[in-house]
Amino acid sequence: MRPILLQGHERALTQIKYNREGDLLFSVAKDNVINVWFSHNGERLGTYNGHQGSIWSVDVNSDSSLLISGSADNTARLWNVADGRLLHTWTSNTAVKRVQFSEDDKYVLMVTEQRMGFPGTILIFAVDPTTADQSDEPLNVIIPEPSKATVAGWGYLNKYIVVGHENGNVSLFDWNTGEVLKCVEDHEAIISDLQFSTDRTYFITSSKDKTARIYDSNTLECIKSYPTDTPLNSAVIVPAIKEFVVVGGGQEAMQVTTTSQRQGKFECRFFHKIHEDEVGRVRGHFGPINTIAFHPDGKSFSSGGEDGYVRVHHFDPDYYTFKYE
Amino acid sequence: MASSSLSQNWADDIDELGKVTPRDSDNNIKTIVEYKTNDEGKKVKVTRKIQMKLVTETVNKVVAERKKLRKFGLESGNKPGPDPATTSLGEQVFLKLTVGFQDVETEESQNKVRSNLKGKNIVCRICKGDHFTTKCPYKDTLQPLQDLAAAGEGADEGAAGADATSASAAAGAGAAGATEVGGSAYVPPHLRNRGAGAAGLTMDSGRERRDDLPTLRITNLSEDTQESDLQTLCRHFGSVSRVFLAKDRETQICRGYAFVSYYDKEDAVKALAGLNGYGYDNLILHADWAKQNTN
Repeated sequence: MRPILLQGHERALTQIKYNREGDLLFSVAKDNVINVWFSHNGERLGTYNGHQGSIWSVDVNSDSSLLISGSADNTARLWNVADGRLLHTWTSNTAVKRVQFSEDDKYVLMVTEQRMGFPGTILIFAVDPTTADQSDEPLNVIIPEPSKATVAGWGYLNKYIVVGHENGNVSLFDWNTGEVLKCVEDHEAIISDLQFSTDRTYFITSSKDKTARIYDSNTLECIKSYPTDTPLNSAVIVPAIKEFVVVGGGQEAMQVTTTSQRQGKFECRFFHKIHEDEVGRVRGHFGPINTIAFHPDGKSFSSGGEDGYVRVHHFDPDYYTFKYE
Repeated sequence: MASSSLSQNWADDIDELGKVTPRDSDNNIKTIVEYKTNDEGKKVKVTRKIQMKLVTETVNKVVAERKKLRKFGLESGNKPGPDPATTSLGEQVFLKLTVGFQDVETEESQNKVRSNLKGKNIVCRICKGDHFTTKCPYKDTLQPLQDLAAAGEGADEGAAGADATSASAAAGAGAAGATEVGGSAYVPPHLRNRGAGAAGLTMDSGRERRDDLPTLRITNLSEDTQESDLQTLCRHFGSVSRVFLAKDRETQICRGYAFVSYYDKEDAVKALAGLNGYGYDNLILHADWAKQNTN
């Protein structure tokens, strides 16, 4: 397959995300713009301009009308997807590291950084798509203790939120009360990514301890684990067609210049979801892979790297005929 | 797409006069004929046929709706279609799905190199192993050995005479080494009679003769040295009959000295010149003729 290279960013990618139908691909990086692309041909539809700092996270609601982004300029912003208009700005005390819409689009969560005397928090806001005015008053503020949150996501039916911590813990919060329901300590290093399966009954975490793990959303039981030989930055569950998971990472960015591209292990690795065996790799990035996203129809996927490129891969026919036996 | 000069028509629908038969026009094939001068100054007709195929893709209604969106932000005002400034096609990459995946590409490239060199003998210039010199595990430690061996060759004319007396002493030391080594000093059949110098000798007589072989005593070896290391080191200078590395009885760690016997006296002289003072594994070796056991 020949990947489509998207060069809309001048700095390292931080997150990419498909919308529900998979026709749009949103990308954010450590520069100040959000790009939106047509995923089938790599054409850029537009950019969302206004952030003053690195953008750490992006999410789109299920009907692809609203876009939320979290940035190091201490704001999270709500955008109109179709024309790039800024609808609302939430201001936080510190950088917003992770944003996500709830399953029914009524709420958003924001993970804020612990810095300058402010604790790391998880803020829950209500979002009303029908009006221009959004509430600036959070519904709840959760302060994860003792280790700050790095990633978080909504479980199914808005029941709980799942939080990945800096020390490798994964915990389940009741977002109304801020109570910790469960906490597991499998990972040994910072959780770098957390992505749900399509029905949100399980999710995958990637960690700098070189492993990715699949957890049950209700019990936080570690169902599967995928050990690799390199720190991981992202992991995704293949949503359709194949029972795979894809993980990506690579050596730390600061050490990249001292090693060759081969040794850096900047590859997307495909694992069989059930058997936990590695089945293949896709190479191409010149730096660590920071984020991976899969098209909801399972026929293509994209990866964003420290090298500033997004690579959109559409699978060859032999991908569909492969049988694991 | 096809390009052809007037004299070399390959497409059957172009007759000798160079006229284009407009065929398949209803079959969505567009024919473009161009005349241009090629590099050799000849006038060349280029006929290009392009098959047009209309592919209807069924997409979700909202997706179709979004395809009509006007571009905005930095893209505002740009015409539809991917902009080469931001979108480009990358190099071909492969996803080879295999059960029990191993890093296929490295294996492949190695196989490719091997198949390219099939029939050619790959011999390492440093240790004479069957790999490239650049891949030699002794690349750093053995590099100067070549030069030493070469220098030894020049010097051994004179050295041979000077060392002739000590050679007889060496013979006895070989016997001492042999008793220590016990049954481990296996010599493959094709080498057994070489030292004896005569064909048709029995195994026993070969063994007896070997005790008279010129033997070096190498000291100041590092603890990590293995017998195989020593073999590779010593076989530069000639065929080695026997290597005995003194090891601690319990820990099996090298005790720092070894005996090496050569079939050929000249080789032994070369080895002595080469190995004495040679830097090996961070230590400087000391080589001398093995002394005769007084017992």
